Amino acid sequence: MPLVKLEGVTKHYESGDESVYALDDVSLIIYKGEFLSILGPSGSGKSTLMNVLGCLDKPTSGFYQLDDHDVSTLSCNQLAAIRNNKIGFIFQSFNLLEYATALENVMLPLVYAGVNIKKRRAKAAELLKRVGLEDRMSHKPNELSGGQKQRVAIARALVNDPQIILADEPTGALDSKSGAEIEALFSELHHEGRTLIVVTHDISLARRTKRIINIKDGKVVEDEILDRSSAIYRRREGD
Amino acid sequence: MIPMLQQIVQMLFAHRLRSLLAITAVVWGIVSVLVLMALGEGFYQINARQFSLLMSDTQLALPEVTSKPWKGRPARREISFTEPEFRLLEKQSAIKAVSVLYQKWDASVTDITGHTLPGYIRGVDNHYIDMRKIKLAAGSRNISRHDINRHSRITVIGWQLAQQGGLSIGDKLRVNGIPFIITGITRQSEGGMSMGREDNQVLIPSSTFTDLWSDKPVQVMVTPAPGISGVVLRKNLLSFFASQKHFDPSDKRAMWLPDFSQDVKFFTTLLRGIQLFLGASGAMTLAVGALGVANIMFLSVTERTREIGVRLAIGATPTNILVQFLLEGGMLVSIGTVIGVAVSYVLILLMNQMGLPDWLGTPVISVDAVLMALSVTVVLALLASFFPARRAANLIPVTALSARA
Repeated sequence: MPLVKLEGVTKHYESGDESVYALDDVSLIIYKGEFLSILGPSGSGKSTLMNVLGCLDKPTSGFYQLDDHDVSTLSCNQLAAIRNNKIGFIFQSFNLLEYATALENVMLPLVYAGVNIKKRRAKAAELLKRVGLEDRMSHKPNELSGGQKQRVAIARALVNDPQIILADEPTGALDSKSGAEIEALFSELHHEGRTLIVVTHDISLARRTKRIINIKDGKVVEDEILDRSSAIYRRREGD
Repeated sequence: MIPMLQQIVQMLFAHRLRSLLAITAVVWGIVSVLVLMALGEGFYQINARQFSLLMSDTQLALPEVTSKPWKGRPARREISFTEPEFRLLEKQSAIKAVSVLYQKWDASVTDITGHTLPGYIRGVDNHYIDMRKIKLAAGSRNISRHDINRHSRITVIGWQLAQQGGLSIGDKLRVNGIPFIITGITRQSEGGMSMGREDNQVLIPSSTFTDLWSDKPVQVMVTPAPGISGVVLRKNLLSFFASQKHFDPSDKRAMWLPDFSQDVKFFTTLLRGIQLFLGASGAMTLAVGALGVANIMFLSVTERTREIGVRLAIGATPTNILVQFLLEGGMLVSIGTVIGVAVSYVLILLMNQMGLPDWLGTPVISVDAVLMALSVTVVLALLASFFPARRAANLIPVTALSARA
């Protein structure tokens, strides 16, 4: 059963007199537990694809199914619920609340999920411990390094046990050492069985994932599986 | 709701300067409304006291001259009453209290050393001072029933006369050479409605007055029984006087029964109008304060667009965002309101301690003024927060996320 299914998804904008196709008839299937990258140069449509996959934006046309839900027909509030409990976002610029501590930032999705304070605190602390920041819980973002901020953002993305983790250039704002740490963390999450989608223009980062979807001018131009030994792809090939 | 409130407090604290400016705008508005309304209330109360006779239900009745012939009697007859004739009013069921008034303009009033004082004499009942709402200075004693029965030679004098003659309570003055002990002095500025040179009057018991002179009373004052309106009372009085003195009950020139109700209406409308004007001026200032809050809230939404995008991305619904910004605006206004009310009370306290001109009265913050200020504030707070909050709630996640941090 696919976790994500896109069929003929199109997203276009009117720019002056011309129509710009950010996504042009994209069809895609992603299975649970995959670790894949969406690769493409700037302006290729990869960020638009991530926004559509993350329910941050609606496609102009086409069908999008996420975990058995036809997402294209959902209301604003239903989409908010999907984003809250099925998707975890990791952004290039971290997007943490500057006035909140690391713990409070990680707790935030649980506030919108209606989880009580005790459980929120315990779960957020557990996740910060998981990303190695147990001694930075009460620090505010301006007291953390770039790598630490991104780990807080990862903890926040994981706190609701989402079906998919969407990362947009997650190492783009980091030095190479911190970048490597984040990549290692992603590998760990993949081995735990989580589904990770990394949007990047960095081929070396993409090469560390198990599948690369190459996108250009809004179209999927290549869908390459790098590690056929993975159980997911063995099963798919057997289908 | 509680975690949201915690976040809001955190956010307001994080943006201290912005929060402080918004709160200051509200404090300024609230203080303007409450202080101006307090000044208006003080002004109303002092003037209402000045016109207390007009505003009370006490009815004056002054004998005059008939204008119509009646049952064989000619017109232009002078009407006068003796005290016992006026006293018959006490038996009327529509009347609660009666006070006769004698007056002597040409009596000699001197201090104990023989210096002439510019005073004139009024012979009054023990009810008179209460009925006229005359306030007495500290240490004063009113003319009592006992004084009337004993024909006491005591007097309550006007404050101006006391000032001019250097007289105090316990001193003596002479009326036609007869010494009277001063037991009371009227309070300055609060002598009730001024009718003639009241600040120079020498009030003595009516019984003592009739011992000295054989004049008839010049007027009677009547307090109606509970539930009796001014119109009914005047009608009853006129028919009573008409039957006593045999004149046409429709002859309104025979007795002057002044109806102050229209004047009262005029004065109260005028005074309340002044108060309303002051309150409205304050409310305008408060509205400017609310505009300040709205401005700051719009700025907040613009500055925090990316944060709103993040919140939407991690699962906040448009309603969550709307409520958050409404609560933020509401909290700024609430804090401003509490501080504003407290500052207003302190300012009014200071004003009263410093002392203001007599004509301004004593400013007082009424519960009504606070409730009015609060209700105006609630409406303005909702308006000031709603539009920025709605703008925030309507943001599309992907657009908000792409805003500059």
